[in-house]
Amino acid sequence: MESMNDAPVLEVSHVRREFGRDRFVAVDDVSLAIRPGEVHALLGPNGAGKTTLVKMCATLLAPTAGSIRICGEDVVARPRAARSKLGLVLGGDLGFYHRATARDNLLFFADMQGVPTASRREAVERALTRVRLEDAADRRAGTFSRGMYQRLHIARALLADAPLMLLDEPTTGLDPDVALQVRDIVHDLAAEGRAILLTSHIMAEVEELASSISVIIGGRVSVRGQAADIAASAGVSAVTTVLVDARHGAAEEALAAAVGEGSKVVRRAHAGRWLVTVFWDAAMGAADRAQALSSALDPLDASYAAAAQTRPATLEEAYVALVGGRS
Amino acid sequence: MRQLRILAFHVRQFAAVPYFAQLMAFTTLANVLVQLFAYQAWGSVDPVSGWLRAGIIGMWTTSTCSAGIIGFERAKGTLAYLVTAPMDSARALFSVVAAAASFGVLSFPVGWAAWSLLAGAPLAVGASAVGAIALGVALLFLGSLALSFTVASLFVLTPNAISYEGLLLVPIMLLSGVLFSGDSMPDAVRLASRAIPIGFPVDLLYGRAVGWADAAVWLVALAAWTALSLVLVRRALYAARVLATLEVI
Repeated sequence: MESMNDAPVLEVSHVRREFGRDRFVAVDDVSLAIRPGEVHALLGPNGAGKTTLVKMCATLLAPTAGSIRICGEDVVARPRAARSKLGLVLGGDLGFYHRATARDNLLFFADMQGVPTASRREAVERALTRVRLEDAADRRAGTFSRGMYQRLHIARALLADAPLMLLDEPTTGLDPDVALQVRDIVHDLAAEGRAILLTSHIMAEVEELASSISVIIGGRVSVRGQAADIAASAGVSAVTTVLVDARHGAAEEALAAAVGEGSKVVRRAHAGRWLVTVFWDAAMGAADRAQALSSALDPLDASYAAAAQTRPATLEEAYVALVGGRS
Repeated sequence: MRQLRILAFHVRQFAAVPYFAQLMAFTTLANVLVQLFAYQAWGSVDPVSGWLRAGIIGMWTTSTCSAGIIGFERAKGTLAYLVTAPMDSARALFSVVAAAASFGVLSFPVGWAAWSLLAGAPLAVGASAVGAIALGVALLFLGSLALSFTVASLFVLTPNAISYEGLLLVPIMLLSGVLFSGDSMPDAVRLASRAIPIGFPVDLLYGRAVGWADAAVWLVALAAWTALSLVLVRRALYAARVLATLEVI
């Protein structure tokens, strides 16, 4: 991989993408920069424009306006130079020659990516080892499980040792153990200094891997930062959970009446009891929250308010509060 | 060397898929049968021309259909990775089309073997004709490839290209002169056939009188069609990136 410095590996500047005669806007005025070692995650509902943005970075789609540079190379003006700096993982069950072995597929794509003849076999073996497919290297790609296939996608992206990795939902549909392996690989790639643009629907994954997050809604970046920034943008200052007996389902209504208009109360079954969750409005301070809990729960059982646990919102809670029913 | 490895990989993939081998074999065999019936019923076809005609049609059909392989790559999801590799996208696509078209070369030995088998005796081809036939087959392959790659630009642009394929296949087949015997080709068709790079190789295969001037015109036509195909494929790639047609829809 190329030497690390602090210059952005990927620079997206005011990018817009329209589709069709009615000029549907899929991506609108999106800008971002990713430096070596950073993992930037794109979150958003289905159809928000995340994959469209990844495909523009990969030169599969031309931006309608704006510019995208990879290591300083403009993807429209110098697409081949830009492509030599990126590894692309679109994922899914397609993208390889199913009758060829995993090794032959990678040797072919190593040639396509311009890996020097003298080192291509070594590059292929290294990539196979990296994704733990060395024992399956001589099996046909068409016989691979979804998890193996996904790792083969990642192996292909590693062949050219590119400084930028574009990963479009790399763990979707994988078993939890395989998804963890893939996350480890992504984590290691970033630790080695690669810049990574990641899209995912899995909040825990984004929370674990991403150094920064852009939430895209309707093609525009709605908020950027960490989970706390997204929670703040959604107006959620904290989250309180409390378990109440099955006979006290009325706790939801009582809390809803006590917490005020900006906060939200949700109740769901949990191990034979009700788990009631309160998403606190940013205007509610700690004293206000304690007062509301006490006034709503003490009439049901004096121990409930004391047992309630208040903590910062998780990324998933903040995202749901921000996006609402859009996904 | 890299290009050859890429080409060889594609040939191995297509060898594992029966479509192109079947297309070449059935087209050639069907034409051998028709030619053989004509020969045995009326004697209006000489055996060597009959076999060569079957081979030419077999190669041309395989070459033309090979352009459609780009649609197959799109369906497999590999097209996206072929055109996002640092290699020139036109070169990457040319390798796929050339590999599929290369099965057409087999139509000549298949045609010869089928004719010999059905006629009950090996078809004699004069030693002096073998060189001309080998050269004709090579030039015909190059000419077919240039035309196929032009057709391929349609497949880059749209997944519906297969609907338009026949619009090019039949007129070019007529213009090639393959359907005329001896000197029966009208002058207008002979003149027009020079504009496509398969007319001269067909003349060479049929043993028609050709000269250096014809070879030079063929070279110019080949270069022109190759240049046109490169321009069209590059434009189609650009348009496909704008229209978002490079992936499975």
